[in-house]
Amino acid sequence: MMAAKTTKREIVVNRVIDAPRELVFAAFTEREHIEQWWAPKGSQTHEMEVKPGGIWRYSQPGRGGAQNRFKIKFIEIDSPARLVYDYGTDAEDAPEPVRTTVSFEPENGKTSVTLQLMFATAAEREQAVKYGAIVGAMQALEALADHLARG
Amino acid sequence: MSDDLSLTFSALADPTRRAMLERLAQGPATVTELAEPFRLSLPAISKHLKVLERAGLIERGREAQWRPAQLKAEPLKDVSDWLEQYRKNWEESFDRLEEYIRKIQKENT
Repeated sequence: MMAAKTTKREIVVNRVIDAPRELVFAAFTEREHIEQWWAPKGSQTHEMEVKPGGIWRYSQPGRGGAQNRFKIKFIEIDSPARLVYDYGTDAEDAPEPVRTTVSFEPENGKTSVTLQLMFATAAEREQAVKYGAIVGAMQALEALADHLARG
Repeated sequence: MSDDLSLTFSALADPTRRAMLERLAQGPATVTELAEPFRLSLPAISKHLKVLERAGLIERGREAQWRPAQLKAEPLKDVSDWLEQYRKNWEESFDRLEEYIRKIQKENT
């Protein structure tokens, strides 16, 4: 029962973009494109290598003018259908990155883009393969959290 | 993401633990009650409970015999806040992407 429910709930954000899939995928994976929209104005790329295992480091202005540094590690680049990367802050003591899967589905000449989050568990990380998809449960639990916080 | 949040996410990464939380959402339960739907041994269930307890997602009662587990809201609230912010940031990124794609498509026609 849980499994069936979880699949749908894992979706975090979805947007239908009015452009062909190849172009939208390029917008996510080519430097001259991605720098134009991914982060807010004032952001800066320090290094970027788009290939499995490649790293993209960038900073973007945070509150109070400080630059926040982020690190993306590309895991899978399966043009034009699927992109997988780890997203986290770029610091020595950075906590666990969040694995993100972006899928690109054609839809009547447009492209449906969906982000799903996966979180590595500390224990499973050592095996480096197992990830739990938990966002679904989190979304279900959100309502609960609100309810309990109020009560 | 803060380390506390990582701990919560790790605890939530397991489907059995999530199901246990959903069960606890209906009210406190003992280890035996929690084990029932899972065909798991009591020690296995206790191990899951320890992970949830360490993440602050549940609280155990003091009666040595029963120790009923109870759901705690705070870490879930943190997760929900983080997720809300993440979504909001992505909605903004998607807005910028749409605008950018419109621009380059116009330039190409």
